[in-house]
Amino acid sequence: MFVYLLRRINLLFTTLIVISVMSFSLGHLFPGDPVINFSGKPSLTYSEYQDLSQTLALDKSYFEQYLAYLKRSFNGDFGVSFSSQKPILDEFLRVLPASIELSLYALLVTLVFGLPLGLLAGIKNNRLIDRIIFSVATILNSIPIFWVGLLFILIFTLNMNWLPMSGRLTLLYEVPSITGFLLVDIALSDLANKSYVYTDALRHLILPTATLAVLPATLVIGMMRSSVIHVMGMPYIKAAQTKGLTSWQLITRHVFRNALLPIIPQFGLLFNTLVTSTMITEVIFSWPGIGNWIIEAIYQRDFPAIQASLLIVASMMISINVLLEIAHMMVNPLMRKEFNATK
Amino acid sequence: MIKLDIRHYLLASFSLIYLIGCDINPADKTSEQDPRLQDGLVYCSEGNPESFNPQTTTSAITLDASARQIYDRLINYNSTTQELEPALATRWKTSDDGLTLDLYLRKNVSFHHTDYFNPTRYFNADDVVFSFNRWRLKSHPFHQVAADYPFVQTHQLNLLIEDIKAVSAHHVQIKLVQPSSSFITQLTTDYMVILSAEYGHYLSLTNKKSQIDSLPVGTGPFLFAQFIPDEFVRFKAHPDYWNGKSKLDQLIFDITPKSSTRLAKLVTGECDVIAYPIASEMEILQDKDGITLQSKNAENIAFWAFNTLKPPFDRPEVRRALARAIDFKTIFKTVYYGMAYPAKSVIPPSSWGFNPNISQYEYNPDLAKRELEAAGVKKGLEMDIWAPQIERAYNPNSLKMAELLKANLAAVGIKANIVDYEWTTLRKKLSANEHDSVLIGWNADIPDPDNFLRPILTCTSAILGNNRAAWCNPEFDTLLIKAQLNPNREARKELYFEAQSMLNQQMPIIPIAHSMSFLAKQDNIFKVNFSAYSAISFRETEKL
Repeated sequence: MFVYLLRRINLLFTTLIVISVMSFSLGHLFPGDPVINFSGKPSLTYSEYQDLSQTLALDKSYFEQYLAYLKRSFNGDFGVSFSSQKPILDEFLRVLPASIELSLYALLVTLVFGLPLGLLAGIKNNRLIDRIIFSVATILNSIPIFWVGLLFILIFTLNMNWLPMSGRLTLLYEVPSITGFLLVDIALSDLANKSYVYTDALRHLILPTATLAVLPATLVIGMMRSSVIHVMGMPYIKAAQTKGLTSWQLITRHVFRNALLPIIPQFGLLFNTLVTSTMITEVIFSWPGIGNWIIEAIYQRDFPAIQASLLIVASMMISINVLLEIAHMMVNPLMRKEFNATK
Repeated sequence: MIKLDIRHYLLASFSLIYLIGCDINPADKTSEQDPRLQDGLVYCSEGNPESFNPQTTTSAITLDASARQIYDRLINYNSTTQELEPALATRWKTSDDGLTLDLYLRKNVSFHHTDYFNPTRYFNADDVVFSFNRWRLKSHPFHQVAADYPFVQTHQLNLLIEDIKAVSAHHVQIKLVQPSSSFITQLTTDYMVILSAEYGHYLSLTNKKSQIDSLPVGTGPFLFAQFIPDEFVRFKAHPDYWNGKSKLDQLIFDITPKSSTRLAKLVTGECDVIAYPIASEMEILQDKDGITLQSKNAENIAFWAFNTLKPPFDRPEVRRALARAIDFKTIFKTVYYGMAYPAKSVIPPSSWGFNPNISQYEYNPDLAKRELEAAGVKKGLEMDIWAPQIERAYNPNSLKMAELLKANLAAVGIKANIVDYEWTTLRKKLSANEHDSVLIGWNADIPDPDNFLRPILTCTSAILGNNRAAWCNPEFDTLLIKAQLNPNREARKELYFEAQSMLNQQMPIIPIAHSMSFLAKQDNIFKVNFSAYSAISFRETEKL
């Protein structure tokens, strides 16, 4: 167990170092002066320039510069954004909750719809219901997400006028940002008649969540379906059937658990899809999250912001992937056996 | 270690569905609207304001977000009656020699109470002196806070004013170096806002000077509440506004750079008012129920400017020949969709200074070719056409226009390369005169012909880097100065006519079109002030 953890953590650190080197070198590779790119302050007087150059250690060797960069990053100092002249970390933390909120709901929707549908399709393998579920999932899986988003907007917003097409909340509601998670903030706020505000927030959530959930949900359906088919062919299922278990008992006791185990490590993959799709979804629905923020930074050539977001987002993704793997090891006894044996 | 169980999963799923279910149910009856939404207005604007002080910019986006919402001027110009109206100055008097202007100020005008500053006194003459000296005097503590003051610098108002002083708490006297016929009208522009001197002192003391433009304090109908770049600007009604509190409690500028998104949000009702729908979208808007269009006069000019410092564009005969090579009719049809007037002169026909005897050069590629040959321009000359990527009030699609020009030029044997730049980069590079030619334009700030000619074509603006043709002709400047000093309108008219004939002869820029601007809004929104010579104003706006 300990060795396993050590190995994973080793992997985590190596990757993080590679990413930080890349992010650091961007400061030099971007057009313009490294002092300006690292600090984010575009107009400097001569003495300010000299001072900054020293505090950023840019007058020293590349290696020392890199160490100074790492030190600053650990302290959360990523410089200021070109466009807003505010610390990048503050900006990042401001937009982060919106993205987490959106991905979390999409993940919930994915699991709530994906797992049962996949289970159903797997159990009723090759019957009509399976064919319907599987072909719809395949079609949805093949449609690019930006197109799904636009399609939803076209149908539900422009034609039906049921749901709003952009933002997290009607801007006329002024909900003070305390946690950054909108639904929590509404609860904490002292607005009168909160039900209106909640309704509004949820209406804004529906389309982005649905758009974002489409791709991972179809992936989950596919994975679950094939896993269930595999499990259903196992001898122990036949044994259980001959023992006279009802279908419900069979599914709850044997199929569901055993089918779920092999696909848990793939949730990491799911998470990656989810994060990339979040960025696209945010741009389509003007959702004020990280994706929208990074794309704006790219449009505005906001180099410090691009550099910092590369580092932060990539580190987050890798950490979560490693954590998921460790979690998988904790729920799957087979994995533990495997690694105990090879120790 | 952790046991997977379908029952846990089912429990979680059902509770989630239950949660969503109980929240979605009220969503079905949204027909009954929250009464609070009735008191606020959402205006979908095109971009992020650079700051909240009109003195420091000429960007229309910044002016829209600040000039008429947060601030007041001493005098207002009413575009319907075409007369001056009292604002913070209740009355004013010019001396007989035209050198002294006395302004008597309104009493009991309060500044905004905000989270970041609480004013303790009413508006008085100190505020006027403070605001004017900010752009006038280099020694002013806040002068260096902004890089430049483009409007006053091109009009040389900083040199025109000899002195400004507070005679009493509510009487300000401005002394001019020479009489100026347009000075009073210039006081009505978006740029002549009144800041709070008390706020300035407070910022000086707390050493937060740069905050004066980002966290503004004014006397205007709305006070600044919040700005999140790329998202929105929030304004609230100023409760003690001297001209009566606004009927709106809240005003939101929802920042939506894409024109098609603005249109969609207007259709779905997420925006109450949208800025500058582009010409190709007008048809959709005209047919839509519940949406009205408001237009404003074409007090602007789109033109094609040559860098007259670079050969062969330094010769008028080449520039005239190029003017003949352009097919303006196609441009009107495909770029403006008919929503523009052909520009015969730089000054639009609605202005009294417009010279009706001038006509646009006729499209005649054969003649143009011969003239170019006669001028010694070799076949296969290459030139750059610079075009900004963003839509401007005077030019909805510069890139498309550049494509058309390119085709026209190919017909006369010139190879054109289109170069597109992002707006701020473009302006910087233009000031350095790195271009061959550029498609750009000008929006007028005051109803005076001088405002079209001086900022874009004089030697001063060439020195300041605002003259896109880098064209400097002392004779032309003399005509403008003579007209400026002359109080007689008929005499001025003659001088402007002469100046326009000279331009038509010299052709440093080829005038293309005066484009109409539009604003689209929901039917229940009334009294949005969207008029020429002024940024948008929501002071009187009502939502029914």
